[in-house]
Amino acid sequence: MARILVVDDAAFMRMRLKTVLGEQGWEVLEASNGVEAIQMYEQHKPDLVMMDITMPEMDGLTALRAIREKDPNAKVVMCSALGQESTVIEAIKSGAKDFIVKPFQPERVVDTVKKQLG
Amino acid sequence: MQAGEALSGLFERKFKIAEIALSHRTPAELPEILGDAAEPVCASFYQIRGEIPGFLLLIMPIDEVNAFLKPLLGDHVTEEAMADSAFGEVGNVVGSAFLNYLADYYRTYAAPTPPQVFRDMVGALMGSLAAVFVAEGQEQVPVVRTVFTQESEKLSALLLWIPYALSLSELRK
Ligand SMILES: [Mg+2]
Repeated sequence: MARILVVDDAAFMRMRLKTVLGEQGWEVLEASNGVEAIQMYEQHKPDLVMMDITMPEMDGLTALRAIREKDPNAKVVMCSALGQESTVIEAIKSGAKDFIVKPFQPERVVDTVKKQLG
Repeated sequence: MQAGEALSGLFERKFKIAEIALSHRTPAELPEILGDAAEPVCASFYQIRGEIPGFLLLIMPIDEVNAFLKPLLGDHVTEEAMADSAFGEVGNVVGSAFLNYLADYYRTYAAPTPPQVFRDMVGALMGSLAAVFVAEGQEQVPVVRTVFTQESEKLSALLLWIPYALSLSELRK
């Protein structure tokens, strides 16, 4: 069973993603900021990370770079409301595999995860 | 428009933009910007960083919040921490959609801080914001006000964008 780390500061959004991903039979881990995300990544080595950007303590772009530095094969998909061109470009340059702009359709999330887990 | 679509997308039901207006106020006028300063509201509050600094607020009368969030939260809506988290995230999604449009249009960058959610009288909230502008010595405050309505439930939410006057004139260039 694939293991997915959901990183978002909004408990409500984690709950929502957990439902969508859990329904597909994937195991879901949660982190509420970038610092926690890095710790959880090292500890659990998830197959995929869904990463928010706007978060306290450490934002998602910084956490993305830190995770990719430690594990160049890490699969990280951004899932953020901040869909400005400059942000999307920066995320992709930093190694994000894809970028989902909130609000998302659940199918879009499931399709993206399936593609990445391939 | 983008903010309205984001709101509709999040809730999977139609929200209309009933009004968009730019006005200039003095800091002293801010507490009464929504009429009755004593009205209890729920507000999610964001500072905007980047090249157009300022503030964003999503505001709703407190007695409408549960009905508003019910489609997203179901029975969890009665848990205040979860409701505040959802209200903060709704503001994040709507406010970011608004900023995404501005930033892409003006080829710049603008990002909100994580939300702070308050339940308080609207006058108290806007009064604290007014103090920031007073401290900056800014006599006129530009306010862009967008009203969203959801007709079937008779709900209305207000998005206020309050940039520093300086950043607005930068944008116009
Ligand atoms: Mg966030």
